[in-house]
Amino acid sequence: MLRLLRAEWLKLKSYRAFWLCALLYLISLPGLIMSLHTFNIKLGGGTSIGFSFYHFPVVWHNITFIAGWFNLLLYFFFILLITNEFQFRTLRQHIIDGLSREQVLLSKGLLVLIFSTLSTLLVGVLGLICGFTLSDSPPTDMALVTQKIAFLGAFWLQNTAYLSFATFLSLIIQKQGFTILFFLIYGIVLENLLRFRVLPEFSAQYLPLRNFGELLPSIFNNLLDQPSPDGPATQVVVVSLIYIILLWGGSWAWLKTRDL
Amino acid sequence: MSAILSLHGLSKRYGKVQALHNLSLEVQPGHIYGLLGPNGSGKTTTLGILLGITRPNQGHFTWFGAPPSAASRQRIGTLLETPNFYPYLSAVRNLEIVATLKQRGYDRIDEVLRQTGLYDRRTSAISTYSLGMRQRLALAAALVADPDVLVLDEPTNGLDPQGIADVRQLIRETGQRGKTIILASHILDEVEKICTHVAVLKQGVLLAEGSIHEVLNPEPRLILQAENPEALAALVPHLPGYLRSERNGERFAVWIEGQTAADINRYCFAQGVTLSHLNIVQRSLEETFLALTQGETHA
Repeated sequence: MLRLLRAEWLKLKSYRAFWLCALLYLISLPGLIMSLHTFNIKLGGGTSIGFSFYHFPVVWHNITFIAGWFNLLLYFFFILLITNEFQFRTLRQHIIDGLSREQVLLSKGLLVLIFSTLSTLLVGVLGLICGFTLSDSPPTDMALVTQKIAFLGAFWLQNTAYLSFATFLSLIIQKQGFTILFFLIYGIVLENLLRFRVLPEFSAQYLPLRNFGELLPSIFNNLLDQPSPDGPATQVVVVSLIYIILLWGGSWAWLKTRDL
Repeated sequence: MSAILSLHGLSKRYGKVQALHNLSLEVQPGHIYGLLGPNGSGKTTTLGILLGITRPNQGHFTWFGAPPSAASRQRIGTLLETPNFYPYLSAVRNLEIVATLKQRGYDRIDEVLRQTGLYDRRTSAISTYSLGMRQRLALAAALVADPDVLVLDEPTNGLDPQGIADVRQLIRETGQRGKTIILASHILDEVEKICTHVAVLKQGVLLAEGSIHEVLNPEPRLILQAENPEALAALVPHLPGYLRSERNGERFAVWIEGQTAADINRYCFAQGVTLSHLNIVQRSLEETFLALTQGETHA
């Protein structure tokens, strides 16, 4: 396993696009989240709403929701990494050189876990910084700090789920542009068609991207200072986990039977 | 000693095309084994199956006497068709990745880069390499883990004459160090110059297999002409070691066994036939190869 990680690291270590993207990510994600300090909606008469963006505990929900959208860029970069292996025919070369097909998949799985975890750690640190320093009313009770921290776990699971989806698509489509295009078209058009026009409501709730999205439900209520949940719904978590397993199972079955 | 590689009835079909039909053969340790055949004869399909990237429809094979596995592939150095590298990485980085996957250290990287003449460009990104340099790097990658077996598919593709000579020399040297080499090529001359054994493939069918001399036996023949052609015509079937002959005008092509040209000349003279022309012609490998592959087409 160490060998797989070392090989992945060698590929990234001297990849300028990787460091450029990492740098941009490290600058723009914190930048985006911290800039939301000024987010508010002015209502007439000098009152406004939205001032509680960084308050514990809703800060966890708010920033993971925003970062979840921002992470589309991470998913696209990940698609680039996987499709590179087809474009350069290096996936085939790895098998020739002495990896099993399972090990090829495992190394991508490890990369998914590392990317999700690093992104989650970054957002976790940002949450603490925002909650303690940028909030206009710092917490008085430590219980508030951790109350909605489940959203951080949901953020990790959402990253893992979307990256698993990205891996699966990349393996099957193999072409970088088409993979990103299909990712977007499926997410924006196809799944919504299925959800609202084709499938009955009962089964529509089990569609994959809908579930991944619901891991971090809309923060609209927070912005209006309305009560909101402390974490994702259990059903959404379970369905997402099942999809992650299915996506990796599907990737494995696909890779196992292919001529590369 | 057990075989390095055994194939048992491998078949592969792509849609309607039978790319490989029931191929069985064995490669023994230390052999330099040529897979010879025209384009589309199933050489690359065979190597793809042996290296785990193509799934056979039928048959099985063993490497080092065991079912194929990722671990066995780590002991094989491979150059298949096109060189596959990360274009944004340097030669050294790319070789580090290969060595890592093969669970070997990086200690041979400088050596193989020198052997393939790439040492001076070792830190340049592969995207700046010419096709010939990439091909050399692919050979360096095949050698970097000091494998027991080398599998080379058209290793001199895209190389200039100097490159071709260098690569052939490198293959021969590697063979002399006791490594087993499997070389696929459509270039007869290449196989003849390098290999000890050969299998001839055409349209996925094995036509002949064995040591290079057995298979590509270049039968010598004598070209004879006499002042009196009819006397020669009468004499030819009685020449010592006679196998067969062909008449072409006043010239006779005669296949004989165990006799030198001088023996024949002496015999004819003794029988009262004075030869005005006597010449030994080796049938070229090219002719043998064509006879072999074309014979099958009409069969």
